[in-house]
Amino acid sequence: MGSLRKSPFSVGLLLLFSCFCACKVSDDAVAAAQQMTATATALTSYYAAIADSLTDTIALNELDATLSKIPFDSAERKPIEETRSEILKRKDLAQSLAKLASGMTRLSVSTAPADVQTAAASLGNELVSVKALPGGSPVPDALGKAGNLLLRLIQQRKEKDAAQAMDQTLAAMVALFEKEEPTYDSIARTHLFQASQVATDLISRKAVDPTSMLTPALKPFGLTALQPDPQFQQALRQLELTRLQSTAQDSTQHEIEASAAMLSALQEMSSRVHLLATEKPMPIRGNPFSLKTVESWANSMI
Amino acid sequence: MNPSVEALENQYILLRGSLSTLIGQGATDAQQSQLRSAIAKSRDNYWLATRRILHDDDPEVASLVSQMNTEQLSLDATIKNLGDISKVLNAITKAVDIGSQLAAKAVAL
Repeated sequence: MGSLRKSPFSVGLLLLFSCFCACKVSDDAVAAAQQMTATATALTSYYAAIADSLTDTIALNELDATLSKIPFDSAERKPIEETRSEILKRKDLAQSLAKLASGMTRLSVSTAPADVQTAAASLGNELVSVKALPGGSPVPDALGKAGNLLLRLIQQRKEKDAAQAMDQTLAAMVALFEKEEPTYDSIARTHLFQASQVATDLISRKAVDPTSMLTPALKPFGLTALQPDPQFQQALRQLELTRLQSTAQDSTQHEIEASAAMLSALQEMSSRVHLLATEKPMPIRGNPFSLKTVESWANSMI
Repeated sequence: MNPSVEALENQYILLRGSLSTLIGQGATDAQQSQLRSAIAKSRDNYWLATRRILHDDDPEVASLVSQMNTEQLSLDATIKNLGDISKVLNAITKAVDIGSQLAAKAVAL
């Protein structure tokens, strides 16, 4: 019980999720929790990939300073690092939501009171974490308000209203992503542009081994290329540049599709929790298909 | 997309993407240095704007975005029809200065 005292919201959360599990159709509550877990996990991967692209952008600017002599000092590095820091805060938020949703799933299937207590305590801590948004971050005010409302309602044991507040919290998270999605796309596009500029410079300086371009022809037969003569190298360099441009365009498009898919999955999650909160049946219970697009893109960034 | 961030992104991509072309126009060492500084400033403006959210409903910002877009078109045409490198650099400097004003309008939330 000590952990419950440390987390004053845990008892309320237990009530909230007991409401989800006991007062509602249990299958819907379990399905909603599983969907939230999958969506929040994909959102975590999405933000992690964007944060990684910012790390790479810093490294690319350092390379660009060496290759093209475009200045890149600590003052110019700072806003990129701060942008990355903001993205990581959103990743933490998504991670907390994933843990919260995962805890909901555990609560909904648990029969042992001790398990329920432990999970409730954990959920309480995660909710505090979700609520503890960084000061000054451009998170919609609605998210903070929804979190505060949720806590108040739980404390007042207004379970149904609390479920509706959860609904509001998720809607606010969707609004956050929707508002910032074009900026995420821009960050990813700029990263790819920067990479393509540095790669182009390296190809032009003959610092890239062109023999790898021959691999598709030789690999099926276990053959290895010799170093091409200068004329052939020049032809391969041209092919490298063409391939670089088309790959950069494809990658940019892939990211745009991933962020659109992420938004779609978040909206789907929010609408399903809304059905739960308004005591309406949930016609679709599987994970949103769009999550596969997000996972595919996030994996391609690793 | 946020028009301010978009305008600054477009400017940086245009300038950085044109570096080798502009250098190939016989720019002096001093002109090359000026060009690289302008590109760095343009990139910095973009990241400052990305870090923050710009108030696009601010009439002054809207006016700067409009000026940026006009300058962008002019700059694009100037770079494509290269002539006097010093005129190109003046156009770049003017466009980047407007970008700096736009980035300075960014407010932390």
